[in-house]
Amino acid sequence: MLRLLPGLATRLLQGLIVVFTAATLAFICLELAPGDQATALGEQVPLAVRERVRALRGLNDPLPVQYLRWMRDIVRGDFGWSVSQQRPALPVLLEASTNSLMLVAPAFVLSLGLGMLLGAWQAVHAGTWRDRWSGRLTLAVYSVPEFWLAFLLILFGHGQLGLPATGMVNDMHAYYGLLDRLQDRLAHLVLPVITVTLVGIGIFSRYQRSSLQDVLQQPFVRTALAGGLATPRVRWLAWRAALLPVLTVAGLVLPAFVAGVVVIEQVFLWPGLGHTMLMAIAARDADVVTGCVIIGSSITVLGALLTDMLRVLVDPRLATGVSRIEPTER
Amino acid sequence: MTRRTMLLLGLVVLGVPLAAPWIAPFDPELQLDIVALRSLPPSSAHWFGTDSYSRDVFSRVLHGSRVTLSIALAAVSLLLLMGTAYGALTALAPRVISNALRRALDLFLSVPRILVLLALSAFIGPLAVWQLVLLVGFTGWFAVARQVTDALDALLVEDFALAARALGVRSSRLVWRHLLPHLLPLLAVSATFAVASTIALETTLSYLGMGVQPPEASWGAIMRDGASAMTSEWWMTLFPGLATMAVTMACNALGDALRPPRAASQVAS
Repeated sequence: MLRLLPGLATRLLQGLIVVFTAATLAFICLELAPGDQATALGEQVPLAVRERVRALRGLNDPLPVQYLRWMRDIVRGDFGWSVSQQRPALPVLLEASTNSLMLVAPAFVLSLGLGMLLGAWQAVHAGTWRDRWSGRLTLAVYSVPEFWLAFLLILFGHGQLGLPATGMVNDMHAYYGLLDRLQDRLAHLVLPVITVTLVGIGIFSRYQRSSLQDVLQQPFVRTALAGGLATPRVRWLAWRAALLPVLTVAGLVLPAFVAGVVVIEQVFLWPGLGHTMLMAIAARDADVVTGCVIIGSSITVLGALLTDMLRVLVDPRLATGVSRIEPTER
Repeated sequence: MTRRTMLLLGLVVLGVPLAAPWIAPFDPELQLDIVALRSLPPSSAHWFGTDSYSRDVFSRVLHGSRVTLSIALAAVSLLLLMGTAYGALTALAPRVISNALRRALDLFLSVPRILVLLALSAFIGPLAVWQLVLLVGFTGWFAVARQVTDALDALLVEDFALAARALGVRSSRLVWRHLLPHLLPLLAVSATFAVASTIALETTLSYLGMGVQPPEASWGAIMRDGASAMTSEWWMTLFPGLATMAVTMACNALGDALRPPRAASQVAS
């Protein structure tokens, strides 16, 4: 792992700059928006009190002063105050992140695994009807807005199968026994996780298919096959050679993944980061919104970082030079 | 995909929105009969049913295609323009500036777009359509800029570019006359994918209540109208979604078909 260090340092620095920029952008947006924390208290709070809040929180100070103070607080781990929930913003953000993680972690692993399997299967059968039709199917999934996919699943899973479609637990959850609680949580996970997974499969299978198909056309594969190596073994070797682009993508689609999750959480009323952010936006809860932007961009940066390390593990040649990364969009 | 199917697809995708006022059986914003025709499932009179204001969903979807597609086309033209300009600047600028621009682009590319868009649109308040176009355009050009930069880097070392430079052609003319024509295929492919992703984005933003505002009908806005009764009044979400899917799939397929054979291996979306 030692050879990773110099590259890691620059990467880390770049990541910090990204998070810093995103946070600054969010701060500027909030400042440009009409109204401040004191306004968010509402008309029923007397004007004198609002003025007092404004003075106490330093909202009358010049913008650069506010900005520096806000930056200092963030660095110290103080994310401010959630006006709508009447408690510090940090626990709100932590809870939301945990909830999001519960949804995203299984979905990410599932979609990476299944997406790679599907993509590899398509590449092996490239040009046949199986490849064509499964390709059309994944293109369809890839093309629709995420929330609409969620809608279809709710229509089927909730309407036909009776799976729970909203929230994380039942109203009666607190009164259940241990096993029932577990079952309750799992049941609530099914539909959201399937939705996020489908979106992910659509992305990963595309990349796995094209990269493996490229490798399968390489001369060394033909040589290995002609030399009498068993087909499954050749395919395994080819798959390993085709791993790099897929891994690259896995880290780089994290922004898209985060974006998809924001919307899916909203449909399933899952109290994760995306849902919390949208609620905070509606309630003009400034500190929570900036917190969500900071966490969201940190996740993206961490994903890119992790991918880079994985890439080096898979292909040690990359440890020497800085690798180019393909752009992604969505 | 053959040339003929492509042409046909294009005709449908562009023809339906243009002809919407003549095809649509009802006025999309007219509340037909709030008592008798409220939230009806699909029937022969109302193919896609009616919404909770007794408006005809079929007509709204048809008219929505104009809103959704014009937003997408305007935003994509904007982002192509900005991406190409930034890419040309990056590739041709002196080394120091060029490097700075490249680093900046890396940075832009890694900021999650939807978070920024949501934060922005939330604090600007309800967006007018032109504001939406500007926002989507201004946050969407990074990938195009990267592709243009990469392509120009490769083109600038070609003999014809060197020859032109040796003859003393100014940079602006070099880009306009000599390099841009080579970029057109790449830009066409980028444009189709960008249209697909922009439609999905507009739909999502409108669905979240941060895009097109009622009573105007875009596909996302129609689905938002149906969001509160998603399972019981499924027709309001199903049909606009199918329309979105059809158009974005057509764009993605078109992009795949336009891609030159060799580049098909470098999947970029």
